[in-house]
Amino acid sequence: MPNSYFLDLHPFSFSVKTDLPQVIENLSTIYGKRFKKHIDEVADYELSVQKSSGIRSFIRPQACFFCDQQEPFKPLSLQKAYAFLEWGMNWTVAANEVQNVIIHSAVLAKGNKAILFPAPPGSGKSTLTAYLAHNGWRLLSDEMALIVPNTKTVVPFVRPICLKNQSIDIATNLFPQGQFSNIARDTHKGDVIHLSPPESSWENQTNTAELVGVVFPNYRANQDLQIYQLDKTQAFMQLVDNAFNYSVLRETAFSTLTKVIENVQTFEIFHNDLAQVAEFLEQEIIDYE
Amino acid sequence: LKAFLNKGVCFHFFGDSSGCVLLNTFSGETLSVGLTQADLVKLISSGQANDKTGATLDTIINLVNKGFLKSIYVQGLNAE
Repeated sequence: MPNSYFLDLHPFSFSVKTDLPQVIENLSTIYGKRFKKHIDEVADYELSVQKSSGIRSFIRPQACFFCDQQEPFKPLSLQKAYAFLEWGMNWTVAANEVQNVIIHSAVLAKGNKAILFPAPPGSGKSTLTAYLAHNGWRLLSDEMALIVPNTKTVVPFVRPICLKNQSIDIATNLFPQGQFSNIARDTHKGDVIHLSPPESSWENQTNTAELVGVVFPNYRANQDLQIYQLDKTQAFMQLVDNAFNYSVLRETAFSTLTKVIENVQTFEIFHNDLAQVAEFLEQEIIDYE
Repeated sequence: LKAFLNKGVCFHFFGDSSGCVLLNTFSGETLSVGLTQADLVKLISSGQANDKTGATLDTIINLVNKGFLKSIYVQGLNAE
């Protein structure tokens, strides 16, 4: 019988059944005191990561992920088990959450003012997120923004920052004191590592923030900072493309996103310097009002 | 604009005059149109869509075909 653990991650809680040492070790490193031996509390979602049974437990062993006893994905090689659990948690929330509008986006805040950073893979979103989170900004989420319907209010869902490939070296050099998971190699995203946000972000995980900006970041190695103001129609359509539960919430999501876009500044930026981006965000968006 | 839209279609014109977004609540499909409210209403009601040139006509036909606009108001589209 695998051991059972509890992850208290506002606004959701997860019970995690596993007996894989690498998963337990990484959960402890990343989530610290929010990762507990199972307590008598009902979790929102019951997850499990197990070593596959039968011949696969001996030859090229694999990890299986279960959510509420369903197995939504095919098994992955055992060394990816922790990353598999993190992705499984993202999927679980994206597939089930309907109380808030969910955007595939990072969210960071200064005080009570938050900026959304929706972006496709490879845009440097997570590297920017890690930089800002370790330079005075508060991380609300690296992967999904939870927006309260018909408001500009974002509910934090603080989770580790998922860094890929070249970003791994950049982050380990920039944040030598950071709490990193083991590297999951050769995943569908390449090599992947998870970085725990600073304690200040965890401490504020129940404090909502109000959106003041939507910024679509693009990292280009040979491009100095370029900033384009996006028109509202464009920005809205790009947010819709990044919304996980838009097709379920429909009218509610439509009115929420129109309200957000109508009331925030919208930019697309191209950059090769994280500090310049941070300066722009602070001066032109956070301090604008 | 409401008079031209089918039942279950929501719309919003943005304050920066960049255009309009529409949601068909039955199909879940969302489209954007890069016209102001005045220009869109004028286009639909005046029959300018008859000119059969440019992307604007395509936009209107698209809105009709996808169930956003009532085709009865768009003069001449059925003659296509």
